[in-house]
Amino acid sequence: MKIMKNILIFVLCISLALSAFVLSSCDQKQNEETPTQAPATEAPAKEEEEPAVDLSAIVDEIGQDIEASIRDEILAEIKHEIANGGKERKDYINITDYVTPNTGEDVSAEIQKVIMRNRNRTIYFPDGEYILANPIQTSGNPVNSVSLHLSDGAVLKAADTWRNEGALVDLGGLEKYNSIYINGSNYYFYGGTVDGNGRADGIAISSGRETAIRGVDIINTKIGIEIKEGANNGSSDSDIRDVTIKGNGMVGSVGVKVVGYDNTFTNIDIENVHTGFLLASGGNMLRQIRVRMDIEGDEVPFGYESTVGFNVLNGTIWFENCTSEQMATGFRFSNQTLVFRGCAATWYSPVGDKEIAFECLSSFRASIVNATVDFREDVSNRAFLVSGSSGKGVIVNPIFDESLSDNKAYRNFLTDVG
Amino acid sequence: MNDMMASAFGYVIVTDHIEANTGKDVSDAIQKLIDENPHRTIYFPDGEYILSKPICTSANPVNAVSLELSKFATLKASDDWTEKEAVVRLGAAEPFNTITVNGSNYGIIGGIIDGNGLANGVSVDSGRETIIREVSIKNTQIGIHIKHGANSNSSDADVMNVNIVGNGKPESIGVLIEGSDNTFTNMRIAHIEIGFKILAPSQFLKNIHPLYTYDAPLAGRFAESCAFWDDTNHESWYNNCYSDQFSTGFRMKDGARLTYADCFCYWWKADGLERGFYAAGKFNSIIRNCRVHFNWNSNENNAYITVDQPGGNGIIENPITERVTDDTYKDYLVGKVI
Repeated sequence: MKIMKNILIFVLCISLALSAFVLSSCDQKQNEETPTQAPATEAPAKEEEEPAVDLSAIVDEIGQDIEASIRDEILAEIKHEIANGGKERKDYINITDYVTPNTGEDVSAEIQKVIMRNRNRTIYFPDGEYILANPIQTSGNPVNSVSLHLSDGAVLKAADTWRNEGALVDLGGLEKYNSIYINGSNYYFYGGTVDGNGRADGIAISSGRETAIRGVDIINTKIGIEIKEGANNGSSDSDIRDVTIKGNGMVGSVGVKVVGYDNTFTNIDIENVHTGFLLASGGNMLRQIRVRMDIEGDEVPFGYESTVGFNVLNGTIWFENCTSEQMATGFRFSNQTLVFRGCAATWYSPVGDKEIAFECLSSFRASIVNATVDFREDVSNRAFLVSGSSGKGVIVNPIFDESLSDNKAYRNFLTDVG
Repeated sequence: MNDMMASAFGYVIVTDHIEANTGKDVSDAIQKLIDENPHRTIYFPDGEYILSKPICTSANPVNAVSLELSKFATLKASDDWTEKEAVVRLGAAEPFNTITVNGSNYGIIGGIIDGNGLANGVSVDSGRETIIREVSIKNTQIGIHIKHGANSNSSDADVMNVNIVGNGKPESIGVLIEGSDNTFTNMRIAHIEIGFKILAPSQFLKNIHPLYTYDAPLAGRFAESCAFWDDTNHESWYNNCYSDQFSTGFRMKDGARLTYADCFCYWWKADGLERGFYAAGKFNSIIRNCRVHFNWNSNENNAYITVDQPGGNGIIENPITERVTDDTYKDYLVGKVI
């Protein structure tokens, strides 16, 4: 019955939204690696004046279909909104007006209800722990979007009973949409802690454009942040900054997984993951990203040999001041045209017998400029660059002790720019 | 935030004085609130505030205010807007030039500025080190206008994490800069004919991504489009700037000494000339590790760079490109083409 109620609330919200607003046409983008023609563009419809909304039909329909108590709740909410004409004061929605934290009980359904009932509002989470047995989702439709703002001491934590695939917080997942023209298209997740409890992912961006994630601490996750295929022909345009991610340390754990295009990542600290960044798309820009493996004592972490700081599967990507610390391979890629400027790979604790700064699996077409690499001396498998000899890539002014690089492939690409 | 928080912070809460979401003009009331509360943060809760004329803040630190908008607070130009100015004009109420008096750093943070297809978004009219942060600007002819700076033309403004969607009209501009010494970081701009138009030197642009769109009325203006139009002689730096579907990515003046590093030009639709860089005269700038990626269906009119006058001391270092049909870039090549 709860599920039925939530579904009907959702349907009602959509009905209200569609009756009052017009849709915008989509921007055109292409996957830069697959040359297909962009679909024809339609001019956006002119914005219409908001028509007088006659909800009586909807109200009657709802009254016929659902349980009386739920119907009454929904009707009361609709009538309140109509009566006020939306004029009531719109402070943040304080989640603890609806939900009690620190109970140890699952509050995901209640939080989801608050999100769905408060479009174009900021939902605020005061300090406290909020247990989630199911993900909470927000809408990618600007008309129904919300921003989530967590206090520093607020924690969204996956329940011990969590059985879902995916993230605790799914931005844009409730209603996939593609528009930058409508007010409300820019929404945020800001602050607090998202705790995957060793079993859930942290935050996903499933839809929408220009979504922002800021100032959040993500812990105990399989995947810290996942940017899924973008709403705009693959392009997601999201912006992530000032985030710390501590993974669950298991083989296969990832700090940030990027499938959508054209995102910016700034000032992110990632540790205790198998792969720091897994990048499957182009147009992404990474700046001041630090990925590290925390080593305790002399114990070599399980799966160390396959750990990677930054693993590029596809796309043209720029890395500036990105650092891999204590990962077996710092930066791995194939024949993509990547630019690494002022990046670093370092090892300073005794770990496994593998220290590869840059690993190219195919023809080398990257630009590595002013990279710093610090090897340890008691390791036998060290390389500034592992690569074949083919490719037009360049290495400019690297900073490292050449005598410590057992592999001399880098010499094929050293370039003097005068 | 709620009453308690805003009050705890000492904010002046606009809706304690003015009703939002009425559809009526509240510009005079907001202006009065600003004028009567110097040295305060004026906070706008979620809701729509209609303005028939700009709201102006003072550049005099003694009378300065900061404007903080909740994420869904919208300052919207009225349907009968006739002003040729921005919805929010920072420093316009009282031009002033000082950084030594407390209160000289102020700005606007958050919310939505909706030009309603008629107005500009935010302008920096005076003052020093003004900030614009986390703002969503929509439907504007000019998204942000940094005017001639108070300090011998230096404005020193800082703009970060701002998204701009223009009104798509001819000559629409994302950011127009007439003062020097400003920093711009992490911006996305769309539905404009020119992304950035720079008329004063010493700007730092980092992670700026303008996108040309084909939605009316902009459709058909591709040939005129330019992501970064720089009309200055020297000293601006472009880092990780991304021209997305503009006919010309980066345009520079005759003999200008600018630096472009790790920039990107990309076309997802073949629609005519695809040009990464254009020197309107001699080329004297530095282009370093910049990628120019032509549309797969474009087989002519693919120019990494064109120059109006040969010669020049500029360099193009390790460019990343292919299928270039114009050989001009070879005259300035240092290193190799990747």
